[in-house]
Amino acid sequence: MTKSELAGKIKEKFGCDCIVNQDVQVTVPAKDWKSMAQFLKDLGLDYFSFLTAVDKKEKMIVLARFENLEEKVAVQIYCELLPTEKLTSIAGIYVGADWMEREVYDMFGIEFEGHPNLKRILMPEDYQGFPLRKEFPLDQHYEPYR
Amino acid sequence: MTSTMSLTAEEFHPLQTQVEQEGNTLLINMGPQHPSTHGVLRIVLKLKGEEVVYAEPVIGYLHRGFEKLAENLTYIQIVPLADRMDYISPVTNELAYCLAVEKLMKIEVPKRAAYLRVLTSELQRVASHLVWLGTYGLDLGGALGGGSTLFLYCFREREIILDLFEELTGARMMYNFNQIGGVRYQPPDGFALRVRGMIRKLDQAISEYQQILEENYVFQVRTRNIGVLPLELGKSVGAEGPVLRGSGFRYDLRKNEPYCRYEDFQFEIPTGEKGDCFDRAKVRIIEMKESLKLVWQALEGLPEGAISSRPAVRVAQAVKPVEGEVYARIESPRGELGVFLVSDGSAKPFRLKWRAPSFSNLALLPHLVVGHKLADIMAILGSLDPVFGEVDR
Repeated sequence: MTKSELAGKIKEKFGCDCIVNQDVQVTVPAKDWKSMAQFLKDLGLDYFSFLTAVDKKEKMIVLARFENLEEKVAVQIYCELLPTEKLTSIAGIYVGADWMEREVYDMFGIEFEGHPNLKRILMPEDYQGFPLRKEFPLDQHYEPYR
Repeated sequence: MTSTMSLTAEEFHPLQTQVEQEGNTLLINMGPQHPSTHGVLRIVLKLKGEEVVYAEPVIGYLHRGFEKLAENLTYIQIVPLADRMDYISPVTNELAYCLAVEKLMKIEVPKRAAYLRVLTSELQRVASHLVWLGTYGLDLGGALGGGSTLFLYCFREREIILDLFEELTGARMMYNFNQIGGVRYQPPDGFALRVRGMIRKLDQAISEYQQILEENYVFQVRTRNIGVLPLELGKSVGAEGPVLRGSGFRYDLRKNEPYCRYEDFQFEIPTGEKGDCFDRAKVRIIEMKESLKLVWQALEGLPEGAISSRPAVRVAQAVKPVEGEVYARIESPRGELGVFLVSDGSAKPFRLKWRAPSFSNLALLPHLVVGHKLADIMAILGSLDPVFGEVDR
């Protein structure tokens, strides 16, 4: 399966246009997030690389990267959210998404619906605020300060 | 496999009684201060007799906010910070970061610099695997030649490599050797001679350790059929490096997606068969020997010329990549180390995601330990080789 074949299949199923350069990049609406992950896994992209988020101030972008290591095909899927919106968890499809979604929740405050154990992972459980949001300044102490 | 079971808030609390009887299971907190957790890791365990029924690793004790800090530092200031992520193999971290910035700015690196990068990465891989081997000996306990024997042997050999690094960069651990566009230092006179001497010595020593371990009955009993990783689970979690190769999957970024002119070099990728702790150990030991070969070839083929395509930058503001995003990755001693970098055209990165192999490998732990005995947790954890600087970032 080549990248352009894959892009064609995604276009056929979801109607989203893909950018094909080194990887295949595609932006999906939040409602298609989980079905896209399942679709890609069924297509043979069974390697979960990472899931993270970028804070663009007025919107959050969540992205995940899946790969097929044998055929050297990688797909990055993007989803644009409002800072208060929730996303569906894909931890049931890719096991590695479990911890990565917890990290995104911990750092950006994005909640994942259907996650089996959504709680902070790197920061203490009683921590306030979401450190990787752009509004979170570096030079200020946050409670509880230890 | 883990069940869908999770802990209640009360059970999860660290000040909860260390041992609690509830039905037939026993709740135990392992760590965060525990001699064989390779750093600060707490595992909340549910035991039935001596068998593990549920395990939940608790991480974050070493969190230093690297990704937040990186957004507030200039591109050049991040290089020494990246050293402190995986402190067992600093050089590969800098390399991953520098490659990401170079990819974004489309900077070509001189051939000599690329070879020096290969040379240092492979020296680092040997040093890093030696630390793993030594501590793995400690994890498995006294049966391997009196506890700390293997540990001291390995640290003695690692010392030779650290001396070479000190000669090259002036530092024993946090080298700051790579820079955007190349490397910082030319090798001193006689460096090649001393590296070759080291290779001869280590090649022999590693063969000896291989023999000590693989023919050792106790080592075999402790590691064979323990923590078997099915390939499918490994891929689904995102495990990488020796952990995935131990399960028989021949995948190495140095071969599959060569960077830094790895395509010029001849080397083998060892793989295991079953994916148990023994296979992962075997893969790492053979990898050390392959790395020594690579170091030799890098010395043989080292071309003359410049070591950096950019002048040594004294004004930190000088690096300003165009707007865009990039994902660069390398094969660090622990697996695929990826750097996802988003730039908004300013002198500081907009977002830097550190895709750490230790983090993904450690995520396997709750799946691997279930059904094994409590004492096997150390054997399994050690075989995943996590470094907590990188897990917690």
